[in-house]
Amino acid sequence: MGLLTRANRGATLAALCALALALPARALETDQYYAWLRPLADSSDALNAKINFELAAALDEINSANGGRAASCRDALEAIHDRYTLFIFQKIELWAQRTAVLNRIPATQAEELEYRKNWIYGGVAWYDLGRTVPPSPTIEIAGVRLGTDKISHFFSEGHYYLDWFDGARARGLSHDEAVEFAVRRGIAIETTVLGGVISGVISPADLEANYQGLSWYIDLCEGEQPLLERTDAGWKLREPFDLRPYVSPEWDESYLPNVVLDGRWKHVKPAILSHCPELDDPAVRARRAAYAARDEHTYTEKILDSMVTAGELRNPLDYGVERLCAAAAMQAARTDPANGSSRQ
Amino acid sequence: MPGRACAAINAPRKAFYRGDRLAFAARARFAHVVVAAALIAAATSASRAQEPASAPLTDQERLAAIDRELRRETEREHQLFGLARARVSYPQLASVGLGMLIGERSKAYDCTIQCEVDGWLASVEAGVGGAVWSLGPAYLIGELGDNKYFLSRRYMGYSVRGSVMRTWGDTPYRPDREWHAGVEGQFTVVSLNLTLGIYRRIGEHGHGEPWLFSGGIGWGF
Repeated sequence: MGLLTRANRGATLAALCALALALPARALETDQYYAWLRPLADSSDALNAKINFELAAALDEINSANGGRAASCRDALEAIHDRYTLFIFQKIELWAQRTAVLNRIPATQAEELEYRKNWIYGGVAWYDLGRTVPPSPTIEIAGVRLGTDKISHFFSEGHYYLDWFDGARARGLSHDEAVEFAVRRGIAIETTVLGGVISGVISPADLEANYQGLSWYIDLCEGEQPLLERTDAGWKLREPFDLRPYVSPEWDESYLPNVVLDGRWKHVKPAILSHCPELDDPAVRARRAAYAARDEHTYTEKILDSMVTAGELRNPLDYGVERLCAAAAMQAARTDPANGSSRQ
Repeated sequence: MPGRACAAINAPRKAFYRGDRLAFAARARFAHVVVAAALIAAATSASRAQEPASAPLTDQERLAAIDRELRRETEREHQLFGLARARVSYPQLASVGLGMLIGERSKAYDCTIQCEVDGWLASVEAGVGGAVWSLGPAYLIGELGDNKYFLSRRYMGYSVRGSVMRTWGDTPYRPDREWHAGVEGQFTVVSLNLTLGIYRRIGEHGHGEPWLFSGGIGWGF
């Protein structure tokens, strides 16, 4: 299929070894198109409150033994990581799908069942993993609509990135080189095993959340002023956690689209095309304009772009709603010139 | 007011007759909230008559409310769930089983959609080559869906259980009608169930190798 024409053997081997462990967050997909026309209040305060609630519990746990004096910063980091993650399904996401403190789409259990039928992956084959595991709902953080799976990616796969980063540092790579190594390994796993084999979906948005998770984990114990500091009372955070600076429009999968492999694409493409009329909705247009205004070429995007240019990855933008709708409108215009209003 | 309260009560019933039991459950809860709110409002309306309209929550009050809810979510309560599994295994060959999971879940929400349950699983399983009775701790992420007790979806779970097995019929490599006791572990991901166990023959009437290794693959938990 030419998806990844130059296989990174080391990364592929690592991917196979990590397969069972890394499956978790990738098992869950999400659909921000579904939420386009639905109002949704911001949940930043509530999500931050939960994350800080768990952070406090993790540090209490670490500090309960001898005031945390025997624990290293890494021990504290691991205790924090354990508060959010599990195996296959992540604790923080299980919470996000159920709690009353977050505003989310779908909001109720009845809506949840309707979402499972009508989300963009709802029409895939019966044996597809996407039908077997429940989709992640959409929440809004700092003006960005994102699937709750991104929180899992931040804490879970961000931690995998940290392990790869640490391994690279131990082998003598510089900080920047180690970051690039970790990100590239994450991309390689996404494009080969996780996206290429298991889910059939390669998600640049997930990769963005992974990278931001890595940034946060690194900042916990490294740098001139690590976020974790040892005090007489034990380990504590210099300031409360705030997810907002880490979130960008790239976390919205309807804005930075997924590459969907052929087997799934025939089902997913019509579902995305069904949202074409909604592109003219004022709320949708305003949101996408706001995204565009704050959009930056992120670290992960730069690497993905280089892979697209090198022919190692299909261009995610080819799977985006704008291009698909424009192509569909052009095709319709060619078929029926009298109906030829084409968008963009 | 009474008319509105009746309408609120009837709404979930109508939903139920439309066959949408989940909507029924959700609306029933909503209706109860509406009715409760109406009663509270009626009871306090006299005293409120002289008070100014309540102001929206300040940020501090809102964060305090979030914090209260987060603490409430950590409270747990017990619930009984039904489980089933079917598998191909040795020495039972083809078998089906039923189980009861008595577990703790968050008090803040039920298991209609995804929840995690931590508790004890008791099960009985009968197959072509024997039967197994098991009891042990289990952890499961699943959901009831539109069932009231039966966990219709099992996303991930594991258990380690003490088990007693009775073999019968044409069990390959084993004499039948033997009793064994042992430990069996099981792991389930998206309903794919894997089991592994080790047993030792109990009783005096057996002959041959006393240890028995079991394993299987199937559906359920």
